[in-house]
Parts: sequence; structure tokens; C-alpha cells
Amino acid sequence: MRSLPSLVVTWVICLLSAQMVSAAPAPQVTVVNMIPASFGNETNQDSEPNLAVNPNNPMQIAGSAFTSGAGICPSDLAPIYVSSDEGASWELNCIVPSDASGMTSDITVRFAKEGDNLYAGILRRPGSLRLNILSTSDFMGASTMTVLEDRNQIDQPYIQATTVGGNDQVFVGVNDFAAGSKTATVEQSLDAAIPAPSFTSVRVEARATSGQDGPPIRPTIHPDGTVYAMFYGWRNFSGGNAISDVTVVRDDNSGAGPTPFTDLTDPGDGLNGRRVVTDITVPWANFVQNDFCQERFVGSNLSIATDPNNSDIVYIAWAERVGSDDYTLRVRRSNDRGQTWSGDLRTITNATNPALAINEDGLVGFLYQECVTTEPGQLRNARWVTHLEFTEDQFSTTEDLILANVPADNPSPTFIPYIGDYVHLMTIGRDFYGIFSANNTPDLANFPNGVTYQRDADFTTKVLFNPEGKKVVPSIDPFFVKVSPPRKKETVYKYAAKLVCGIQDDPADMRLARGFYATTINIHNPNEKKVKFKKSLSLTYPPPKQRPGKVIPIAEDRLGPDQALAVDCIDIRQRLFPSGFPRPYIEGFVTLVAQKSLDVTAVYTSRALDQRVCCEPQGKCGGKRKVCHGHNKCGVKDHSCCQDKKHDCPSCCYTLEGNHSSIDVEQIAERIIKRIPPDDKKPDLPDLVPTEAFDPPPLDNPLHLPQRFCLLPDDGLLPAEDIRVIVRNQGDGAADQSITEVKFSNPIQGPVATSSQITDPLASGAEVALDFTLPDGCYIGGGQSCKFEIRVNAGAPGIKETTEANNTTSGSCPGVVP
Amino acid sequence: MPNRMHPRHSSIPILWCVISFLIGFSTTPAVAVGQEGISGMNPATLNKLATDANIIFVGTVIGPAAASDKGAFETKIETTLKAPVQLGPLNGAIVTLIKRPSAGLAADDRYVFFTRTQRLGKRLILQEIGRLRSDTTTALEKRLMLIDQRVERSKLAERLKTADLVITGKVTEIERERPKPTIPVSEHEPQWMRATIKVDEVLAGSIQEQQLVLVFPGTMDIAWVGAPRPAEGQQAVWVLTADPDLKGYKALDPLDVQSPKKTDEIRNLLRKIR
Repeated sequence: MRSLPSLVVTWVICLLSAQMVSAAPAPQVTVVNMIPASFGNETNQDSEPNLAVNPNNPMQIAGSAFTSGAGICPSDLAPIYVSSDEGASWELNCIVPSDASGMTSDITVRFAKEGDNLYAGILRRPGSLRLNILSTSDFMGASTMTVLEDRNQIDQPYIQATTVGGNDQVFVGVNDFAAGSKTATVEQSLDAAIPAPSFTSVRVEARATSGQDGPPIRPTIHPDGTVYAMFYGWRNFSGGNAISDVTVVRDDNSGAGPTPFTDLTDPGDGLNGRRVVTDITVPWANFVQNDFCQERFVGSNLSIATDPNNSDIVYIAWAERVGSDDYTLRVRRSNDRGQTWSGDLRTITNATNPALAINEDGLVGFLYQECVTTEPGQLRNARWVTHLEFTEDQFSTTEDLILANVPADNPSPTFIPYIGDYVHLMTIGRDFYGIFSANNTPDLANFPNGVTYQRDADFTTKVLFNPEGKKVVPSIDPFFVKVSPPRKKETVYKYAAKLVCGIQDDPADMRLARGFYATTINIHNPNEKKVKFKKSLSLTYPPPKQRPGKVIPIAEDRLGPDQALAVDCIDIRQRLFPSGFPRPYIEGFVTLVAQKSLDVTAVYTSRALDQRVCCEPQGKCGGKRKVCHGHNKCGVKDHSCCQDKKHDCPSCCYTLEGNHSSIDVEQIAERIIKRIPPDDKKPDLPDLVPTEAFDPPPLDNPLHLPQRFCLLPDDGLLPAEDIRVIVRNQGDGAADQSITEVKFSNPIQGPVATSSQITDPLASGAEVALDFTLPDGCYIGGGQSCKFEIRVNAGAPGIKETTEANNTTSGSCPGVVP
Repeated sequence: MPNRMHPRHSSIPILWCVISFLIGFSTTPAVAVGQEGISGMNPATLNKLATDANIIFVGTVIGPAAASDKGAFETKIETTLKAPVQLGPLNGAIVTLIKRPSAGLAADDRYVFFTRTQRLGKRLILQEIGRLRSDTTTALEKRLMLIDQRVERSKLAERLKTADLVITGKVTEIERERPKPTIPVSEHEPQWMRATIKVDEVLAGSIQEQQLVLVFPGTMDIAWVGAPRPAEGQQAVWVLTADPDLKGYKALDPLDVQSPKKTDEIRNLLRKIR
């Protein structure tokens, strides 16, 4: 008999196992501090970031922020952030026209869909409302971006770009004070890659305003040519609040035609632009708000995204004041191209910078920054918490990734916006790419999903260092994020309906009684939307002898709401066996695979065949001469058949009429199968990541060993002599042999030594521990820690991975204070 | 007998200057010069190089930076002659130097390199716009200092030239109330505020009153980063632009507010330019 403890242990193991089996695969999250290593002295307030991933080559990414190039850039140029390795590392490239400040005011960036052209919408210095629309065909190159348009009285340019028919199309949402009182405008060029392209100002406000609209006008582009834009239509402005509508406009033809953005009217007043909500209160307080984590309120927080698979589906998010002192984000959805809208799917109180994006699986990402105060209304101990939520069921359930949870009370702002009036989130295929600004204190507790710094950061002491080894005070930095969600499991409905078609004429066949058989499978779509489904035939006969038969695809069909169709023997014979069934009859299953539930009913009909009965002289029956074999009744004879003697019927025969028939109707059972759809675009690749072997040290004992990578020496005394790196393959594919490299350094002397080891091949999900000995001289006097930078897949060339952005991490082992 | 310079040294820089001016220096960052010493270089060319370059250093070429790019060389900075403080000390740093297309460069070459930042990443990527022999460092340092001073003076002179009024004076009062925003409004609205300056001396222009109103941006918005904000009791030389609409004067460029210690220097400068 088992003891109670062992039963408990068993029970716990069972529970844990069940938990592990049911746990969803975790998304791959990469967070990178974008300040380059060579700019380690940097303490700017790099707020209001924006991001562009090249759809043509996602390894190429550009970012922007209020980062000053004064001094570091050649005169009169401002920098953008550039990456050629999908955000794993970043450089500053000084290619944006500016003045001695080396900065821009507002700036947003976007790549076209094809051809590698990068576009930017900026407010150029000098001047406070001077729009420049810029472009470059080589964002990593040294040439200053070309000015495509330059005019004044414009606010908050927010750019989107695509390529249609080889032409770059650029849409810039701007608040155009030259437009009179209806300032919401989309500045568009449908051929922006030509020399001196022309831009047209499309006024998208149809209603009377307070004298202007709100600052943000946000366009979004769908590949099918649908372009949406969203804005705050200001109806009244008191100085402290803007009473606003949230308005969505749409163009169904890529902004072409004489009246762009007029394809969506409001059912209430019949005017252009659907008002999703009316008369909301948007606070206006253009100065530092201590009770809002040092940020300001300037009504600039809108976001709009459309489903890349279906432009009918569009999500929006906006900010407003619901109560007396809050700042609340609200998210809604339309399934019908903006004509009708859901209620609130998500509300977040005291948050800003909403950014929505939808990936190719229909997964919705929602990035926002929440001001969390421990003492109501007080800045002290307040924190900015940057969330990235994912939902596949319209926010009924969400997965919330905390990207950063950082102090909001430090540093003090040097200007506003403190973290920005916007952030950005976008998708390429399945992957989400985003950018946000936050306090850069190197504390892993502030980045629950991990972070990589390029600048010199000591996560043990939580201090930044400049190239001289001197401490650098915390500031606001831009952070890049890439999230690769696991392939979305889709619900698949499967039906297997028995099928028998043809004539079985052999009385000795024991598979199926002699007769004529027909099957008709009726399929009805009970859904409100069109349903696609695949049909195939899984044969069981032929072949005989219990061997599995062929699986033959029949067709892919579509059914509209309440439509029905039938699959029958004639259809199958015509499609699959145009020369006739391979045997007089076939048996098997017709299988249906659909994304939605269907009504599937099979109708089976059969009829007995006329039977030729051999008569044999086996005795008399009722005084007659013969008794017929196979016929148990006397008196029914067909003497005529006896005239038709055949070799297999040595005496005579007669025909027994097959007058028996049947019909049977069966509802076919539904099976629900969750599966991960195949990714046709990418082969299964490995993804190597370096991870810590040990837990962090306790807060009250930062020297505790082992900790993170640092091993406890055999003598049990400080400092650590070796580090242990766990190399894990978190990708779907197996990893070939690779190289893991560790570069050791100390804060005074810089690089000390580099060590590398061969990492054995790793199956998907496997990991291996590698120990590296700390080199002599890594610890130096004064208790300085020994630092190291770990890179997996460090060979040249390395093995191919899904992402290389997570190949590097850094750490340190504490030194001993003499 | 006067020293005679080899034609290769003497004529090429002049020719380059002429060509460069013809094609427009201001839009062409690369200023090709020979590999001569400071004495062999046309002063205008040196001025141009020193002004256009944001990093000037003595460095030794280590070798090609990448096999795929024959124009890029790993180079060690030995002595920094000009560099932005934001990058910290660069002595000892390895940078990627992209040489001028027409110039030769090989491992162990040592020069004074005039460069412009191309990119900042794990290391600096610098575009060479000119070079000098490395034995000219001491003389060059002095010249660079003079050029810097001249550039600063030139920038200030530009401000002084266009100013409506240049005075010395003290801020006696600053408006405390933030103006209520009115339509049209943007987040970059300057939120003009007003300060009163008691005029001590008029250095240029004319004003009858003993005090004037300085209009300055009350906002902390990004668009107005760098614009001087006056402090009560602040004594300065004020380089002012009249704004009749705002009924006051503005001083929005960082150069528009100068230390009182510079009063004489500015007075002398004004004499020369106005």
C-alpha cells in the first residue's frame, strides 16, 4: 500500500504534468536598449519613439526618437536609429536634415512595402510647425534624406507607406493649420519614389469644429488598397478640455480618385467619417503632470490597425477622460469596414501611448504605457509600466507581457513629452515589432521579459558606465521590442462520413451484401459567414486485404451562409474516377475539414439486385420435380430460366427479383481538432539563446553565489572562478553545432580576454550547460566586478536561426571589496 | 632665396579649393586635400576642413575593416584634437575610418584625420574628409583653437547682424501665469510668457524706454528645447529681435543671451559689423 505522502507527491506530479501539457507555448520576446555602445555617455531624454521595419527585408529596421545629434552628428543633421540585424544591435545614422540642435521635433518613419525606400515625416528645426516629408533609398548610407515636401503650419506628421504596382504610396496624417478650421488632413502621394513627387492635402474632417481638430491624425494601410484614418474631431475647446468625436474615415481605392477618404459615412448625420463616439472629453494640459508620471496631456493618443487578412476588420484605441482626473484608454473593433463598432473591448485607466497591430494570424497586439502610482496623485515611487497585450478573441482573454516596469519619478524631464506623445507597434507576418521609451536603469527586475543593452550596463550594481568607466546617470532611452508569438492554434472541424458506391454482385463476397449502394453526403453552412472546406476520399476498398487505401483530395468548396451542397457517388466517380470505379463498388470515408462548424448528413440508399438462382435436382417440393438451391420456398419458379443453361448452373436457373431497398439518414459526428497551421514561408529553424544557470542573488546579499551565470567555487569563497551558460534551443528546428563566445572585461581596463567553446547540436527545446573560466585580471582592485558579454551562435558564418536578436546577453560576477 | 615648394604640394590644394568653391562647398562634405603638413595647406581649406569635421584625430591605420569594403579601415585614435564631449574621451578607441575614394591608405599609415561621423554603433564609423601629416599636431591644435574661436565669433556676428536691439540689462520681473491655451493650439504652442528687463546700456539699435519686455516660450515642449529662458535677476547681454505682434522682444537662439563678461567683445564685434 502506498503511503499518503507518496500519493500526494504523485498527485502533485500529475497536476504539474497536466499543467505542462496544457501550457501554451511562450512567445519569444526580445527587448533591446537602442543606445549604441559608442554613445555610452548619452543622457538625453530620448522620448516619443517611432519604428519602421522593412517589409521587404525585416532585418532592416529604422527607429526615431527625440535624440540629439548635436556634436555627434555633422552639423545641421539629426540621427535616426538603424539596424541591419533585425534589432539585435543599433547604430545612429545622421541623415535627417536639422539645425545646430541636431534634433527634430516630431518624427515618424516608415518603409515602403517594396524597394527599401524609407520615408519620414518630421517637424523640422528651425521652426516649430515646419513639415518635411523625407525619403532615402539607403537608410544605412551617409547621404542626407531627400526633402520631398517642405511647408509650414503643420503639426504631428504620422507617416504610413506601402507599394502598389511598383509605386510607393505615402500617407501622412497631419494637423494642418493652413486648412482653416477643419484641420484634420491626410497628406498623400501615390507615387512618392519619383523625383519631386507631388503631395495632395486631403481634408478628412466633414463637420464643424471648435476651430481645429486634435493633433493626431493616424492613417493605416491594408494591402488590398483600403486606407483608414482616425482623428479627434474637436467640437469645443475650453483651454483645459477638448470635447471631441473619435472619427474614422476610409478610402477603398488607395486614396485614388477625385474624393479620397469618402467611403465611410456616418448613419447619424450622413456626413463623411464614422463617429465612433461623440462628445468625449480629452484633457489638454501641456505641462508636466506630476500625478501622471511627469507626462503631459495633449490629446495625441490614437491608434488604428486593420487585419492584414481582412480589411473589414479594424481596431481603434483612443484616450479620454472618463471621470474627473483619469486618462483612460479604450479599444473597439469593427467587423464591417468601420460602419458599426463594438462596445469597449478593453479599457485601461491612467495609461497613454496606445499602439495596435494585427498579425497574419489575426492576433491583435496592444502596446501601451501605464502610470502606476503607489500614493494616489503623488509622483514619488510612481512607475511607468509598458505592456504588450495579445488577444485572439477580441480581448475576452489576453496575454499581457510586461516589457518594462521602470521608475517614473526619475530623471526629471528636460522637456516634454517625458516619454512621448506616441509609441509604435507593427507586424510583419507573424512577428510584432515595437518601440517605446523608458527609464534606462539597468535593473533586470525592471524588464521582466529580459533586456539587452549595447551601452555599458552593470545589472548587478544597476549602474550605467561610460567608455571611461565612469557612472552615467539614468535617463530616458528608446527600447526596441520584437515578439514572435507561437503559431496560433486554429480550431479545425473534421467530419468523416462513410461512403459506399457501386454494385456488389458477388453472392460469395462477405465484405458487403450483394446489392446496389449509393451514398449522398449533404453539407450545410449554419454560420453567418462564408465557410471554406476541403473534401477528400479515404478509400478502404479497394484495396482488399486490410491494407490502407489511398487518400484522394476531392476539392475545396465554399458555402455561403445557409447554403448547402452534396457529395455523392456520381460526383466522386466523375471527379476521381472518370473511367469508372476501380472495382464494381468502392468503400471508404469522405472527410471534410473546415474552419467552422458545419451540418453534415449522409444518406445511404441500397437495393438488392435481381438474383439468378440455380436450380438443382435435390429433391421434390410439393410434388414438383426440383428444389432450388438458394431458394427456400417452394412454388416460385422460373421455368424459363431453365431454358438458359449455363456452365455455372448445370441444371437450370431462374431470376429472383431484387425488390428489397433501404434508405438510411445519419448525422455525421463532428470532431474538433486544435492544430498549428503549417508555416509555408519559413522552414523550422532553431533559435539559440543564452540563459542564466542560477537564480539572482537575494536582495540583501548581492554577493551571494551561485548567482545568475556565476558558479560557486569549490572552496566556497568569493569571487566566482567560473561562469555557467545555459545554451537553449527555443526554436522549432534542430540546431547544428555552433560556437558560444564570452568576452570578459573589467570597468577599468576594458576587454580582458575572449573565450569560446563548441556547442553541440541541440534538438528543439534542448539545452546544454557550458562552463567558462574567468580569465586572470578580470577582477581588479577596488572590488570591481568581472563583466562578460555572452554570444551564442558566434561563429562566422553562424547557423541559421529564426532570430539572432536574442543571441547576446551580458552579466557580471561580483568582485570582493578588499 | 625664398623657399620653394614642390608643385605637387603647392598647386593641388589651391586647385582643389578653386574646384570645390566652384561646385559649392556648402553642400559637399568631402574636402579632398593632399597629405601635406599644415604649412602646405591653404588656410581657407584648413578652415573649411576644421569646420566641417566634427572629429579630428591623430590615428594609425590598423588594417582593412572588412574584406568586402576596401574603403573602410580599422584605425586607432591616438590623440583627439576635436570631438564631441557626448562621446567621452576617444583616445585609444578603435574606429572604422572610411577613406576618401581617391586617397590611398594602408596599414600603419599615421595621419591627422579630419572626419565626419557617419554612424555610431558598437564603434564609430567616420568618413574621412581630409588628412594632414601627423607631425603637424602641435601647430594644428593651436590653429584649430583659433578656428573654433573664429567660428563661434562668426556665429555670434550673424546673430548680431540681424538683431533689432542689443543691450545689457537685468531681468527684474517674470510673468508667473501660464497663458490659457486658445485656438489654434498645438502641443508645440510656445505659451509665450513675458519678462521685464531693465536696460543698462544699448549696444546696438535704439530704445527710448528704460525697460523692455522680453517674450520667451513658457512651454517645455521639444520644439523649444534650447531657447533661452530668463531667470529673475539675470544680468546678460541680450541680442533681441522685435516682435510687434507679441509687443515685445524675443531672444530664441542660445547665442542671443551672452554673459556680461562678453560685453566688450560684443561691443567690438558690433563696431566691425554694423
